[in-house]
Amino acid sequence: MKIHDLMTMADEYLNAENRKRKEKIKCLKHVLKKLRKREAKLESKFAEGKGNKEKISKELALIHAHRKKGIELLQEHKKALKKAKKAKQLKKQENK
Amino acid sequence: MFRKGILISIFLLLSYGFWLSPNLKQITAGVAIFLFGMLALEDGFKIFSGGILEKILNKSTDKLWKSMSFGVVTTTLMQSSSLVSVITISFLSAGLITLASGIGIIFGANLGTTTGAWLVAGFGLKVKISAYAMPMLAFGIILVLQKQKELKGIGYVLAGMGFLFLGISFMKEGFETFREHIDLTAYALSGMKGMLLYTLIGVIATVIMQSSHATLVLIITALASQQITYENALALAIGSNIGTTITAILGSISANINGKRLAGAHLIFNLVTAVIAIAFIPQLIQIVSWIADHLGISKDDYTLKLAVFHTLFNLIGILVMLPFIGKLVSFLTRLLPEKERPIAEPEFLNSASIELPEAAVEAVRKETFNLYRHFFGIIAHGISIRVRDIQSDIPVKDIIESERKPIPVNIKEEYTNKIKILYARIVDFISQAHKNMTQEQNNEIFGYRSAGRKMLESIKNVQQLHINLAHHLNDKNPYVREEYNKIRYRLASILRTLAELEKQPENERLALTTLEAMRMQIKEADKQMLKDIDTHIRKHHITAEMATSLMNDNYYANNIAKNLLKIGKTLFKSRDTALHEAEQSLMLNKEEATQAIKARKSKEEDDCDNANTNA
Repeated sequence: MKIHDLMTMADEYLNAENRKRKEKIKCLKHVLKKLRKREAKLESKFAEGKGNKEKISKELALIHAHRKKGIELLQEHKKALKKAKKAKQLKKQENK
Repeated sequence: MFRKGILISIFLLLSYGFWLSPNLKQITAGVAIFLFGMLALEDGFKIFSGGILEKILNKSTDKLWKSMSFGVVTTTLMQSSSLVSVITISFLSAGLITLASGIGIIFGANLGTTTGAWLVAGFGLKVKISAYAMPMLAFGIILVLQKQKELKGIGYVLAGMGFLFLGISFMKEGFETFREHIDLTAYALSGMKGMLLYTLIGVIATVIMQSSHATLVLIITALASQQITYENALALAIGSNIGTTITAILGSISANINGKRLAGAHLIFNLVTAVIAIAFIPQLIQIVSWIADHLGISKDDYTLKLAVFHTLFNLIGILVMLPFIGKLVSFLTRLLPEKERPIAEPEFLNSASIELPEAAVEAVRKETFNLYRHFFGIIAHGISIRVRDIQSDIPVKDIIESERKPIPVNIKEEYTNKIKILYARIVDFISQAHKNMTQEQNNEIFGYRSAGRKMLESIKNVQQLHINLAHHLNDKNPYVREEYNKIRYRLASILRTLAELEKQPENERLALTTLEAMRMQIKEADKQMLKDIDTHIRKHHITAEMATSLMNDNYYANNIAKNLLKIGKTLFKSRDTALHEAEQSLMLNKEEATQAIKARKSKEEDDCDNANTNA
């Protein structure tokens, strides 16, 4: 197999990875939006003293932690995506 | 017995016909090959579409014009209104589309099926169609033998079209030689008597062949060889339109009440259209001639004129019936009402959905929800709480305080008559439907099956719990009463959470997080209860027997709680797999969760201190 073919295969592999990563980023953003909305709703419910306060407090704690974890994951994915793009550009330049 | 009788009569009649005229063999073989082609075409589209058709149907039927266009386009492409109507019934039964949308599709399919007459009259009779059939059959059969699903599907479509063309060619040649021996026009009848008789013949022929398309092709080929008069051909076309409803009626036998209503709508629509066409036949013939003149169709080209007539009267039917769709829906709902049954019956599972993976998954999902609603009621009554109270905004503590009388409920009977029957039907349906599904779809339906099993387990536990609850709910001992009310509170809180989740729209729902918070609270409550029981024994508030009962019932309550949370996670999770996976990736381990709760508590305390200082 020629080097060029190998490069193309690697490129295709990278693209598939990137596609998956982009999909994950999209989903994470959606979930983070849902978490933000739910957190705001529960905070106002908690402040008004409506419903089961203990349960709301626990859910708020979990939502907050989930959001934190989600933002970290999102940043990781974004960084990896940037890195892959840079690597691709470098390869292109080397080929030229 | 009746069906067998009809079958034998048809066989005898055909045998007599074959003995009488050898040409009849060619014509009937043509019809048989044509029907076989349609079956192959349907099979091909089922495999080839691979759920695409179902996906489009699911998304593009929210408005009447969309559902009608869907009916026209799909029937035109597939040349089979039967396939479209059967899929529509299965989707309606699965609750994926509304009755009004279903009626729209059927109206559209009626118009779409008229394109068949145009194709045969305009193309099929003018060229040597069998020349196209041969390569199609050869390529089609080679592809059918391939292992790859898509190629197999294309093969069936090609072979199906090949058989259709071959069938038309056989019929055409059969009628041409038939003309040399027998002149069927000698039996032609004019006037209203002829119109009604030939309409009836059209109905019977379509009911036997179960394809208006095949009847129409037979009419066109007979008309082209001048074996029937133009007026009688029009009557036969009207009859075939009525007869075609038999497919929807047969398809609705195994469907739920909505499927039956749709078949009813189809029959009403086609009957009304036929009555209009028969009543205004002289005027329609004039309009057809006028349209034919404008389209450049020669005056003696009766086959194309028949195609114009077929399209025209179906179009008139749609225009007349369109303003009354709403009234038709309410009339059918009144005519075929939902039955209240002491024994639960599946509402969404029907044999028509088994072959269509998308519809089958949806049917299982909806039926599991149906099972869940019965289950929810039994659990709520089992802990002596009314469902309407759980679904209200009244604080759970207030409900527990106010409801001190045990609600009479025969859990064993409810379990046997509702839960067990429904679950058995779901399991049976899954075992038949899962073969055609993708891995993802399989995972989804097996998740629902597992949720159903958890429901069964929970009912067995609540049955035990209910006996002691009913006994201790008004116990003289206030400590025992209080502990049992704690158990009720714990389970009622989960039921309230599940009811809230069900109310929330899917794009706002965060089932995993909400239920995880609930799980942690339940765990704490369980620990606290064991401590309290210990204290009560030490202080002689309760007897050892009471403590044993409490501990047993706490065990049952815990099992029910765990199952309720698992059921909630399955039923209310994001249906989009990628979104569900994203939500799952944010879940915390035990340590992380404890830390998060600690952080929140200290924040709440700080807020409280700040508020006090400000005050």
